[in-house]
Amino acid sequence: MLKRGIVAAFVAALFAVPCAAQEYPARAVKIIVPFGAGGPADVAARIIGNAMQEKFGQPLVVEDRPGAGGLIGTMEVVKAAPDGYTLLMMSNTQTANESLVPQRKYRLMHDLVPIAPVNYSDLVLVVNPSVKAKTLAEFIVLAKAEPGKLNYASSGQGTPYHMAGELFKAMAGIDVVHVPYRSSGDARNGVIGGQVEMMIDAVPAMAPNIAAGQVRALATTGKARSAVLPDVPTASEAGVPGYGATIWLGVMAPAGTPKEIVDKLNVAISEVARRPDVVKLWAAQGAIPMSMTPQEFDAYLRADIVKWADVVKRFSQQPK
Amino acid sequence: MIETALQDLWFGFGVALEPHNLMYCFLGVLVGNLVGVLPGMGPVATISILLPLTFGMKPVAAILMLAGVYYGAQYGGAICSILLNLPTHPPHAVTCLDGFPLTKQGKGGTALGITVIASFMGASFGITEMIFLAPFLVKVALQFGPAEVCSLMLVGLLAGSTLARGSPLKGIAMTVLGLLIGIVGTDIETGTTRFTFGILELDDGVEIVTLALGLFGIAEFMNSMNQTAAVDTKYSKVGFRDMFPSRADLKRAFFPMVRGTLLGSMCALIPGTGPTIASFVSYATEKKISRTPERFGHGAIEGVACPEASTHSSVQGDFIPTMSLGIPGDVTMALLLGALIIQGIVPGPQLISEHPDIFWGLIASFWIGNILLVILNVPMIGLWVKLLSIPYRYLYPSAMFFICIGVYAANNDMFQVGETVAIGIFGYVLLRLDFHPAPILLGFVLGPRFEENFRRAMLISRGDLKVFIERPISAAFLTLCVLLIAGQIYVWLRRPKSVAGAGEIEAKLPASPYTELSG
Repeated sequence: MLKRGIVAAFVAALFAVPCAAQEYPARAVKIIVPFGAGGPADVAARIIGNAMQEKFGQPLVVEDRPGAGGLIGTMEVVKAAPDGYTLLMMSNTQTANESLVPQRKYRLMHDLVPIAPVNYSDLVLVVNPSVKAKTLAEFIVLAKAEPGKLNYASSGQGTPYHMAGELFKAMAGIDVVHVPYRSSGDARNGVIGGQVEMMIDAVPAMAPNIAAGQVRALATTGKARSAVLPDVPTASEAGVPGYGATIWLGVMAPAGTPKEIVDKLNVAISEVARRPDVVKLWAAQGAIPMSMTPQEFDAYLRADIVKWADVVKRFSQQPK
Repeated sequence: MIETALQDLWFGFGVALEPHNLMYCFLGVLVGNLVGVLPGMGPVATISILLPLTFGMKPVAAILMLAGVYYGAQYGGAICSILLNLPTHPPHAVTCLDGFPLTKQGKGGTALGITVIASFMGASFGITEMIFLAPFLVKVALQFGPAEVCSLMLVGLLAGSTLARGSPLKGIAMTVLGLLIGIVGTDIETGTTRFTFGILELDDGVEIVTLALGLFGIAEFMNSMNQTAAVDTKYSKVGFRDMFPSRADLKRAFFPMVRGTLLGSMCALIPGTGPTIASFVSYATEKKISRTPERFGHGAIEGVACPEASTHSSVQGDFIPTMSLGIPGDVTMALLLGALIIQGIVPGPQLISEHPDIFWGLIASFWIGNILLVILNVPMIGLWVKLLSIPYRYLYPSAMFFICIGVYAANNDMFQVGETVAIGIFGYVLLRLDFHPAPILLGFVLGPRFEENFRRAMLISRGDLKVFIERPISAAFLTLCVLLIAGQIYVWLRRPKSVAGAGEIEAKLPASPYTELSG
């Protein structure tokens, strides 16, 4: 009797293993957003989470764990069990941190496995109306004529706005002084109020102010013109060929997460990110869905890390 | 402009009074009020939790509810400050200073009554300001560059020197300690970490909630543990009559309420200054200009009225830059904007024209929400005061428990709970050594902003100190500082010389045989 029981259990166990991937997710999945509540990553996670809940029938719970420039939330996912029930909503902040924060206790590509990108948003280079340049080319000429005189705002050292600014400086060959603020809201106040001349900011945040004439948009930073600002040329078109800086969001999981779960999530996220109602929400924010296979995303991440490493090296070497 | 504003407001009332929206507004203020009473878990945490619920809701109802949580929490926050000397949220820390002594004198109910009145007045003013003056105020606010904010912080620090009780030297020591604690974290200008000792969780500095709850909550509790008769239970039997402030109280509190309101609304517009700074600065200013400053800290009703009025007007005023420019003034506003973005609405200058139902419905809901809160709170005053009749041995440990849960709920972070306890123990040591913690909070809040804006002003002016005098608003604040210092010196020089004089007079008297006898 006992022997039969053991054999039965053994056979049942054989079936259980492949079934585990089929049944995923069997309970609520947690996605950790290492940024503040209400920000673009948080909003995107909630939108995706809502849509995936409809798809899988299991809730996708968003947990905000801000702190230390994204490090705290990222560490939490690194330490989580690789069973697919804890995910990380990350952005180019994480790829930049690889070079910005050498003392961090994880390696992005080693401790986490890429699942899928979600969307990307262009940035826009705006200037205060008091600046006499009406196009990007004029601005570059102005900046070159008076090196070290103009200022640009960002929401802090190492933030995507700062990095985009430094890349622009390097590629355009100009010298503008970086003025970090405590938050993106403060930085915007600085540009609108005129204390600082320029800022590279998120399109949805600045679009209303551009429309109201409080700031002037000189260029957007994507490969193609932004749908929200179709009259504004890209930086590539307007005088700095090859310049590209976007804020993109993606999902990763702890290293060791089974491949079936990674693939399943990849398919689900790509599908959800391209659903018409979600795309409409993205469009209002100036975000465009991205979809890649996990391998493509892996290559994309590695390239991004290298790109920002170069920028960090350049501005770390500048005299303070 | 006023006529169209009134017309739009009428339209807004129509939107806000729709049963669906009204229900959500009521829900928001109710939840907010309750959350305000609980320590630690503030509007930010609550709104984050409610945010996913707004997915399926219509945008107007969603924003009404979330906004209700925000200003509703301010009504609840004063209750424990006054009755238990436990500020549940940082803006109400100053209310403890005079609120708790009032409770000890048996006038806890009166203090709560004045709070509700002051809150309503402050909120009403903030709302009115928002309706009529929003565009103008936003323009003024944009004139505030780093130099102006830095000078303003200096005024705040100087005025706040009055927060110290007892020895001025100890007061300065505590303020400086607050400044040092404020430095902990990542420097904004350079990105380097300061005073974090390699602890990752300290990279963002010490949280104000942690500091306020630790210093005012845990430390005070530990200090009171040895004093079994701190609050006589006879004070808990508050008659309905006692809840209403007397005429004399109202008269005394009226002008402080007005001043607090004005100061609060000013602080709301200036970027980087929130309800906490508003309440501190208004208390300090009130004490400075009062004819009887020694009453503060011992149960002066003005000391309760003005910070509360200031907090509420600042909270309502916070919506102005957010709604007009689409730029959130602080984390709570950022959350509210996030809620709008999820709904597909992009906030910005065009929000008023493209979504008038949201904008005017929100403003109308402020009025309705505040009235609902007054109706909720006034009858509850007696109930809250009954809290005092719970024996200490149940009340205090429960409160400590709520503090720890609240701090954890705010940020999902056990480290912060530990931080609160550690700060509490440290605060207890300070109290035993007769140092009072109020100035620490002041230094903590104002100091880092002063430094940040000073360095930014220097960065933009490329090291030219004259920028503080060249820019008119900054020069005005600096003049105010000079006047404050000069006034202080003047008062000190003109102090009665009776003590010094008596000795001189005696020395001049001819020696008489009788003086030797009386010796």
